[in-house]
Amino acid sequence: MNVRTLRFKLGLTNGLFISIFFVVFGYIRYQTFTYRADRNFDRRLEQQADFFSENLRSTPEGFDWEPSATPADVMALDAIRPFFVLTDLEGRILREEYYGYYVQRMLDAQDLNEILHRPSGFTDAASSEGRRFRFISSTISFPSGQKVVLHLGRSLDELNDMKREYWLIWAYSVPLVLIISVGVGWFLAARALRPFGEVANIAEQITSQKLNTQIVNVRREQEIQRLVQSFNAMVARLSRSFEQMRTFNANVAHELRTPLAILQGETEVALRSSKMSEEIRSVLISNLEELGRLTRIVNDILTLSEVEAGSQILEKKPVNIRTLVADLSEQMQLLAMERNIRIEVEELPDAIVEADDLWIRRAILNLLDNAIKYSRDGGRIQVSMVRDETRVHVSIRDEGIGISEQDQPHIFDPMFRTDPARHRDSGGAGLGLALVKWVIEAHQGQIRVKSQTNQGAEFQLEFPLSRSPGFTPA
Amino acid sequence: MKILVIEDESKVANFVKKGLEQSGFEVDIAADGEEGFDKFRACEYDLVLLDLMLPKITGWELIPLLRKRKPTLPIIAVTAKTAVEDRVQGLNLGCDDYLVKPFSFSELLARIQVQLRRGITLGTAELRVADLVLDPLKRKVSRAGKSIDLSNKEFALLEYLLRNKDEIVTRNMIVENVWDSSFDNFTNVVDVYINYLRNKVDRGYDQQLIQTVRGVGYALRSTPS
Repeated sequence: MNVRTLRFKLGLTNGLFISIFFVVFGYIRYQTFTYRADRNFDRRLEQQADFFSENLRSTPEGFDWEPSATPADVMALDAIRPFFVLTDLEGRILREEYYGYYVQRMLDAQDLNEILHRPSGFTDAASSEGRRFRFISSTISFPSGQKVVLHLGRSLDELNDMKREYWLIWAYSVPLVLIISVGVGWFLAARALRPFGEVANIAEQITSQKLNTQIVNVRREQEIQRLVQSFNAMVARLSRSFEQMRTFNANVAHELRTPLAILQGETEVALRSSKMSEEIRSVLISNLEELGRLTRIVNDILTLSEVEAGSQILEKKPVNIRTLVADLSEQMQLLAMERNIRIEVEELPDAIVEADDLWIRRAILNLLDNAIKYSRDGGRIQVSMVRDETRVHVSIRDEGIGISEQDQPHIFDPMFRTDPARHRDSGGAGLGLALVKWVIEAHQGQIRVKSQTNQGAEFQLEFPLSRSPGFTPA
Repeated sequence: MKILVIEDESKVANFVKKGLEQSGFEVDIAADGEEGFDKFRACEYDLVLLDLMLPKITGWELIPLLRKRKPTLPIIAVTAKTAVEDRVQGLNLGCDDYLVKPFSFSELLARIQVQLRRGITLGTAELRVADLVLDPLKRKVSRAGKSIDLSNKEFALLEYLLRNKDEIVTRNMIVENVWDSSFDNFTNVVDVYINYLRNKVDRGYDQQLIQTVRGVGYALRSTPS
């Protein structure tokens, strides 16, 4: 997982935020809950104490703490499930029911003493077994002037259980919420970021040759629309400046042709007459050679700007790459032999490709020419071809000076020369491989180079095979 | 021989005129299509050399007009454009040859001479120069009665040289006609094939038939230039 992606960051931040929110919110909820539960508990205790007092007071003759209590007393006592103890103001026990007895038995003695001597208010107490209780004490005045104190207690177990349960649910759900929110965040981030991926995919297909590509906006989200719009506007601006550059190149090259033609023609015609000194003649001949080179450069620039502008139209028809490669290798063998270079051609399979014969020839010839140019005398050039179901691979490998790793990414750039001093004599302006690449790509093919300095170079071409049915290779 | 040059760049027209006159041609210059057409109607020419991009009447418009009046007149077009469709269009319009600016004067001269001799050596009759004989039908070559074995390309090259014997042919012309191509890379191949041919045709004979014309191309002739 790449941590430097927006998706990761979004997913994680989302998860963390939700989790922190959940923890804080849960804590506040817990606090509120316990506060309210405690209050409810106390209020309930109070209500029960009031109810009890009312019932006791409703016996006008005063509370009879003898065991022979009236049925109303019994009902009043029965209505209260909590423990209770009745004392006088000095804390002497007047009456205790079964519960009261139980309370006396189980409560911590000190706690009990404290409770019994309290005329009003709440007291917390613990049993010897560690159970918690809470008592309310309230003084009841009878019309007869008699005063008794009611100590009413309830177990805190239920309340504490509830609190613990609440706490546990909250505690256990934190990691769960964390996982879920990170997961949901991860998913949502992916969903939200998908349009960016789509935009990027289209953007990757845009090359200097295909600058008229515009991203069709299929998304309705405003943010994405804005991105796409500004992207399209940028591409359009780029396209315009590329266009201007191309037009400029083409115009410059074009404008150079007439003066070049005049220079070359006048020099040549002048040379045909014999009325000049040898010195002037040799200068003119040298000029003529340089003019020839200038002409080649201008022609190459023009051709390249034409192919880039798309005004070169390929006339494709089924071409057998085998015969083409074999022919060209044989022809170039003659050139190679002058320097004792062998061109070894492996047995080639038939491979029919939809191609413009002239341009493909030009491209492969260029590669063979380079292979010879950069080979050492007596070297070897291997030409091979492999065909699979859908494509044909052509490889041209020499054992020459090779191309350094730092140069490799640039060799297909127009005007790039690996070593300016070294190859000046070989003519051209370094447009050769740029044109080759254009030709190959115009045939939906690919070109790659594998090389190391002084280890030779291998150019690998790849074309899709023609799918026209029923064509039998010649 | 009289040639009409229709070219709006006066300097181009001038060096062409000067060079052609040095080579023994009579040259008229017209600066635009209209003037060119007027001169063409007023005079008999053996060949017309015209720029395709001309003021008033363009070369493209002019070629059919000239063709209509003189269907067999050799027309060579010159243009600064290289795009393939231009080339195709030019040839479709009926010009016989085509040169792209900047061109070499020797190239132009060689092409003019070939055009003016056009038709003379076409056909299947035996071609010969001195004691070298080539039979296009049987595809056999012999010199002084001795048969010579040639590869297909060597044969095609020798046939082309023979059909243009005594004329200078440039490397570009050879590439275009023998290799059916127009790429610079091939001009080196031409030199190599010429060497092969020399080894088979001229080696061991006093008379060297295949001659190099420095800076221009080659010529097949029985007399030294």
